Amino acid sequence: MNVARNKKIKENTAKLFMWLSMAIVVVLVVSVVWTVFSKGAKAMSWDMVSKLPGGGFYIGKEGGFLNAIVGSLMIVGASTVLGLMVSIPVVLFLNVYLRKESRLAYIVRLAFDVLFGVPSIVYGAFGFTLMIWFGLRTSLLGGIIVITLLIIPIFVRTMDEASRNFPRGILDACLSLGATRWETLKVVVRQIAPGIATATLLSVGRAIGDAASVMFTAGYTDSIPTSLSQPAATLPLAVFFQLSSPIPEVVDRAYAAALVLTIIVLLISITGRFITSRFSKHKV
Amino acid sequence: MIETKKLNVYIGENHILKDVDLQFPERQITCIIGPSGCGKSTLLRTLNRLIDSTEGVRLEGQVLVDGTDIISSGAEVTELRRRIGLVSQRPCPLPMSIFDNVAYGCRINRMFKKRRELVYHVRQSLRAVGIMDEIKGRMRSPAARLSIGQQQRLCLARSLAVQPDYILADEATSALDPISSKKVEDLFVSLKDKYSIIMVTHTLRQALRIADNVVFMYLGEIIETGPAAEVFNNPKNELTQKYLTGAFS
Repeated sequence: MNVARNKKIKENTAKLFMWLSMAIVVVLVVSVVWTVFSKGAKAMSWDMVSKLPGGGFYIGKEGGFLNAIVGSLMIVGASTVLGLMVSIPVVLFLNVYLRKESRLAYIVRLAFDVLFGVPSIVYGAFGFTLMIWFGLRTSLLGGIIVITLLIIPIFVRTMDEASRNFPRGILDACLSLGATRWETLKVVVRQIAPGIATATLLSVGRAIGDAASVMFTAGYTDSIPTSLSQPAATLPLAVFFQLSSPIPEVVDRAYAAALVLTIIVLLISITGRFITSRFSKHKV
Repeated sequence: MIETKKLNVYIGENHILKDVDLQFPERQITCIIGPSGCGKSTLLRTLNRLIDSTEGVRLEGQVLVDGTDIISSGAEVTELRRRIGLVSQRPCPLPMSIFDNVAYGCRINRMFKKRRELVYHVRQSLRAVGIMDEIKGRMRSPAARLSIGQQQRLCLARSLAVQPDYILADEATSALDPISSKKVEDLFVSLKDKYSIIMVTHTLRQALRIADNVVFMYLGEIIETGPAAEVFNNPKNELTQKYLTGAFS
């Protein structure tokens, strides 16, 4: 009798903790989204997303933050493409060309694990050092390079995790039909496509929201960059700089920028999930 | 014909296959039997050089496919594999539609120039394994949605589509339910007029039902080989007798 009661108490306590944890997460998400939406929605207007800031982003009361939206999208778009171009071959090499017990694969995975954990401000500082070395100023190119470096480990580790459960039988099946290793890659990419979509989702989410790495490298500007060598504004920095302004209109603009950033991240998440489910259709 | 001469396979320090001398007759079913870990699957994977992807593998001796040694360095391994189809233990459909699964091999081997020819050939291959009626109207749906038994027949159709001369089957029915298993078994019997089939099996009854020839292996060595009726009814070696009577498995 006592044993049964003890079991029930344990079961209920565990359940209670799970419910509590879940409640904390839900409250946190709702309150963050609520704060951003309630404060941002008040300040939001068509001008905010369609105009450049007027009279300086610190003190100017007019205009919006189109510069930051475009800058963020430029940096994230370019670095996602570059990141995928570097990461997919790394993942395929690790999982198709190298053997499972390969020492090189172990070292490469360890290196990416370390890079995964490096704080973004360190990437920023590293990028800044590189730029001084090459005599570059803060620019769109600097931002793209540093964000690419920041997201490559996320891409590689996420895709790698998805690929490690890859059924080896698929490779054998392709090879036994007369495929070369190169020809098997198309099949491998199809199988890991949901993993690629998830990795892209995580990377883009991280890239678009990161302020520390672009602070020293992309800089900030009131205008939209017309070349790679010009500085570029980004949404996280628009929030960061404007939020500390003493002028209420500028602070409002910061909240509106935060709202746009949140909406973009939400849109990316929803689109990503849709794409992932589409890609999962053929997964074995 | 496939023939092995003094074939030795080492994986790391382990000597897996020892001086294997075998001939696999054409247009017949040869069943390789033996207890777990005796090297049956290794032998099969050596015949189409899939063994190459195993870490630390070393091959010695000869594997002659129609007189050409495939172990010597000059052997063109992709063409060899096309000629020797493989059906593995668990069905392994590719992550694509039913149609594309069968078409994949034809595409990479550039077998057809016109799509119409490819479609006809894919349908023929699916018909050959008796699955066409079951999947009518579902050619574009994912292969992974088929039942396990259908998947295995699809894998066989995929192998047949690249027009091999030989078919290797590695316990091809062990993951299937009895009805699917019977269907696949019957298929192999019906295919032996066109192909030479080498089959690893764990089920003695299956070997008894379908084998023309039997190879009994133990600890990497060939203990006995010959026509199925002879090996099953009148085994010469004591080990074979013990294995067939169930003294060990």
